[in-house]
Amino acid sequence: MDQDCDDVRRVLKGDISSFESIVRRWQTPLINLAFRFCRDRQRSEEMAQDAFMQIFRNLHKFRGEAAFSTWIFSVSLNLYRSVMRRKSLPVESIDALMDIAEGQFPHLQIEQQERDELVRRAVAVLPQRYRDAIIVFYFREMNLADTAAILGVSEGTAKAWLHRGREILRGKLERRSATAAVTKEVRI
Amino acid sequence: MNPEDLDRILLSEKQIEPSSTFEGDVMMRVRAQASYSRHIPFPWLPFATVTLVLTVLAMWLFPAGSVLRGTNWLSYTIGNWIMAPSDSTLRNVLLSAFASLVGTLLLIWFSLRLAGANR
Repeated sequence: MDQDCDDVRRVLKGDISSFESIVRRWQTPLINLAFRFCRDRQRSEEMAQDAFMQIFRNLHKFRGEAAFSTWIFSVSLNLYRSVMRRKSLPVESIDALMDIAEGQFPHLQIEQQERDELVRRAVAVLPQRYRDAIIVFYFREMNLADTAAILGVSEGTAKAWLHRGREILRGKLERRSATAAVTKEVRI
Repeated sequence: MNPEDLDRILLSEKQIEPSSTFEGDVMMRVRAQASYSRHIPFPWLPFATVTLVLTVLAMWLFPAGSVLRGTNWLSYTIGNWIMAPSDSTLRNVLLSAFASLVGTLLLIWFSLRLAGANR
């Protein structure tokens, strides 16, 4: 934390090379956060690069009132959100994702690993506020206060969004599982 | 799917490591951005010089008490000047327009030179 503030001060005084330490420390988290939105490794690096540029341009706005991590994630989240809105990503509805998975494994139950990946992909196609809340909440290892600060909302709102998002996700996945079970019985 | 399953799945996301060129790529863009957006000071000295020159020129062209004849001076054209080259009012208008143009060009040239020298 102190290291971050020191580097920010140095960069603002004109020592651009200090930004390298910031990049080194935060590159992995920012790439991983981007990946949770786009589910594409190369794209997540591009998004993280843009996030660092945004952070560099707005460094003078960091007042140190919040933790540097909160600020950096908040700036990145805004960018990722607008990137996802601007560019049409090859993501489909949860049902379509399930169809694709079942199409790939027509005679087998989807393996645990694939199912898990499918659930993660399903998060990315939730309505924006629920998607953001769920992604940030699990990215910050279920720290609600942190999640609310990054989203820029109260803890109550973050909690409500999380609850609703999980409800939508579970509902869709359960409905889908029930349909799959009926289909399987019919096949037998 | 129960809530615990969901928590487990979403918490067990695999970690992605940045590519070896990532840091260098970011810093290259940052340095380019920094050099591009370096603060360019306003060229106060050339600006003041040109303003002074233009003021002196205007005072010389339009001595105190001189008033442009009539209200339709804008309707004068080069044709009028050719027809009546001795028309002092028209001459003054054209000269002041020319002086303004030269002044503006000088200001732009000075500004660009100064900005270039500071890079």
